[in-house]
Parts: sequence; C-alpha cells; structure tokens
Amino acid sequence: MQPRPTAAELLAVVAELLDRDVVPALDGPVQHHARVAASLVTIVERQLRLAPAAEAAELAGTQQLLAAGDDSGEAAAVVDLDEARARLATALRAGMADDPAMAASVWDVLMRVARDDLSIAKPGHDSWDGE
Amino acid sequence: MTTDLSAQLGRWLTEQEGRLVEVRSLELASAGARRLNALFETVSTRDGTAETSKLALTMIPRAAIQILDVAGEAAVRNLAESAGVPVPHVHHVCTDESVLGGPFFISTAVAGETVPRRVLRLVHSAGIGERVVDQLGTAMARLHGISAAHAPTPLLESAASASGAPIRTALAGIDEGLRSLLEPSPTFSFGMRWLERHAPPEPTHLTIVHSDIRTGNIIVGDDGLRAILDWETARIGDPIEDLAWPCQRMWRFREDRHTAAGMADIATLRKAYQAAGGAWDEDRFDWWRVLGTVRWGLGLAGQARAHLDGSFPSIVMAASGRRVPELEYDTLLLLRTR
Repeated sequence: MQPRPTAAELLAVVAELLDRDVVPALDGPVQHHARVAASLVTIVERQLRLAPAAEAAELAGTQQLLAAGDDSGEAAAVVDLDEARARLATALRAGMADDPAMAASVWDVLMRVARDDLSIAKPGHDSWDGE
Repeated sequence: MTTDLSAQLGRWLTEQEGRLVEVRSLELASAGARRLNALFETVSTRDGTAETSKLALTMIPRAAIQILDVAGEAAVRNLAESAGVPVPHVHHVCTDESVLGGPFFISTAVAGETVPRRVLRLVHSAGIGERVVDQLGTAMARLHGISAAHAPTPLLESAASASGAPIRTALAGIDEGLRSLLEPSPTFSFGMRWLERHAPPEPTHLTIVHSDIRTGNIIVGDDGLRAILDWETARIGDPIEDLAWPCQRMWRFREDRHTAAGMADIATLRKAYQAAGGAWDEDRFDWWRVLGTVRWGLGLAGQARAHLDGSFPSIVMAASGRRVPELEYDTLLLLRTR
C-alpha cells in the first residue's frame, strides 16, 4: 500500500504548484497549455474523490430508467455502467422518452447525472439554470 | 519566421501594386492548425508622399482542410460588404501557394477587441450591449437579404451547401457525431431524438449563412460592432441558424443573464432582425439552438478523439473531452420538460 499523501492529495499539490508558480512564470501558448494542465489535474483530483459516488448514482438512475422501459427485468440487471449507458442511449434514440411522463423521468435522471459530472468537470457551471 | 514572411509579403505586394511596398512590424495574431492570422503595416509611396496602411493577413497552411477556399471566402465577404454588413475590406487574394506557403488574403486591419472576455468587459463597461446585439441583428438581416442566387460559385458548390436541405444535413451531422462517440451519451441521444421529432420543414427561403457569428468572431470597439470575421464557414442554409448560434450558452462566456452573445437579451436581437427586414421564426430558433448545443458537445468529444487517435495530439484537445458535460447540461436546460 502506498503511503500518504493519497493520489488526490498529490494532485492537489501539483495543481497548486502549476497555478501559483508555473503558469505566472510562462507566457504565450506554453502558458496557456500549463493553465489547461493545472485545470486537468484539478479535475482528476476531484474525480478521485467524487466519481465513485457519482458513478454509483448514475448506475442506479440508469437501471431505474431501463427497468421502466423493459418488463423482462433483464435490462435492470445490467451492472456495468458503460453497458447501462449504451443501452439507455440506444433506447432514447429509439423513442423510449417520446411519452411526456417518461420524458420527465428521463430528464430528471439525466439532469442529476449531468450535475454530478459537472461537480467533477466544472463546478459552478450548473449555477445557471435559465435557457 | 516573421522576418521571412515580411520580406515575401513585401515582394508580392510590390509586384501586385506596381510600386515599392515595404512590410513593417508584422506580428502573428494567431497561428492555429487551420489558419494563420497576422497584423502588419505597409509603407509605400504614392504621388511622392509616403502612405501607411494597417493590414491583416489570413493564410491557410498548405496541409489544412479548407472549408471554403480563400477566393470563395473573399467573394462572400465582398458580397456581404456590398449589402452593408461590416467586414474587413479585402484588398488582395492569392491562391498561389508558392508565395507564402499557402493561399492567403489581405484585408484592412480593423481596430478593436476580439478576445471574448475582453469584448464582454468592454461592452458592459461602456454599456453598449444592446447596441452591439442590435447591430448584429441588422447585419444578419442584411446578409440574409442577399438572394442565394447571387452567392459566389464556390459557395454554391461547397459540400456544406450542396444538399439544399440544411435541416436534413444538420441532423445527419449529429447522427454521425453520435456514432463516432467513444462512449455513448444518453443526453445527446435524448437530444437527437428531440431534434428528429421536432425538426422543422426545410426552409422555403435559403440564404447565405455565415454559420459562426458569435462573441469571439467579431471586432467590437467602444462605439459598437466594427466587423464580423471568419467567413470560411459561410454556406447556403437556413437563416435562423445564424440567429440561434450566438444565443447559445457557450458564447456568453459567463454572462449568462445576457442570453444573446453575453451582451443583451434575445428580444433585442429579434427586434433588430425584424426591423431590418428579417423573418424570425421562434420554433425554428429553438430547434437550431438545441442542434447547435448538441453539435458543439459532439465536436468537443471529437477533439478529444483526435487527441487520442493521434491525428491531433494536444493537451487542449484532450481537455475538450472533459468539457462535454457542460454541453450535456446546457442541452438539458434547453429541453426542460417543465
């Protein structure tokens, strides 16, 4: 087992170094790329902390939608998130949410997933909820 | 590189204008994969007096894919200019790649801000948001007032215009984007289904559309809109697409309350467009706004793919992949079931 600092803790200190010391010391395209690097490191740091809960919630929400569109119970038994997402995407494209009530349920789940994804990728992007 | 470029440009301009033209203080404004932009001054002598001009060079690197060739782009700009759309005047077009290493054109350098954050800071500190949006609406109405029949041949023949069915073409683009995704996106599939079910009829009136008029592609000064840039994406299409595009969230650069270009509200754009003779269509506007948002999200995923498959390795392209959730969220905002 690796000793502390944890992976997330290390990424946090790398991001801080990039932001505070490296970016201001550079200019031009390299500075821009370093700023992007700092932002990516921060994203991965949040991913390490937040993704397990986010992915569990996404799987549960996706299974619930798949179950609503499938009486056999087989679809809801999908435990792999990639596969569950692929099935949901295919079903949505095929008209699963054409019915307004179903569309509302789908929208709610997708919105929760989008907000969880944003808490990792871009916190604050969802503070605007107008058009 | 800039020294060589200055010398080559000076020689070419001297030849073209039949008098000695010296190129000075050439500065690269941007050098991307698709185009290189540089600003420079020329000094020449006319009737015994020295004359200085501030000009802009736009060059397409030899390997880059041209959406519309430089001659076509220049022709569209000239046509738009003659209809009263503010564009930097084109002075020279050169399709001979041996001169600078790629086809290029030279236009007037228009002073003002182009970088989105700086544009929005200027607009809001000067209190001219409504004026700029009003000017954009007027400019679009003038552009769309040009009959497609008068469009330059390269535009009419471009692949983007060829179908004559912009709605079907746009949907096909989304379909292809969905199929190219490395991992499926339920949100974009949901969006695509909505787009298919709500697709408006093909427009009865096709016009020239710029297709990328937005904050970041315009020059703004403290007196308002000075020029619309980057006409390489012009094609024949549905005019409402142009109106919807700057009203998408990604072009507001955090000025979310100002739904049109981060500067004013959509009603201001609509009023100006109608006042200048444009025909607004609310349903079509909503549809194009959803389409553009999904398309941009798929485009970001495509950039990440280009990084991963090695066709365009870049940290910026890699980072685009992690911006996809922003566009998924924005798509859902537009599809709110209420």
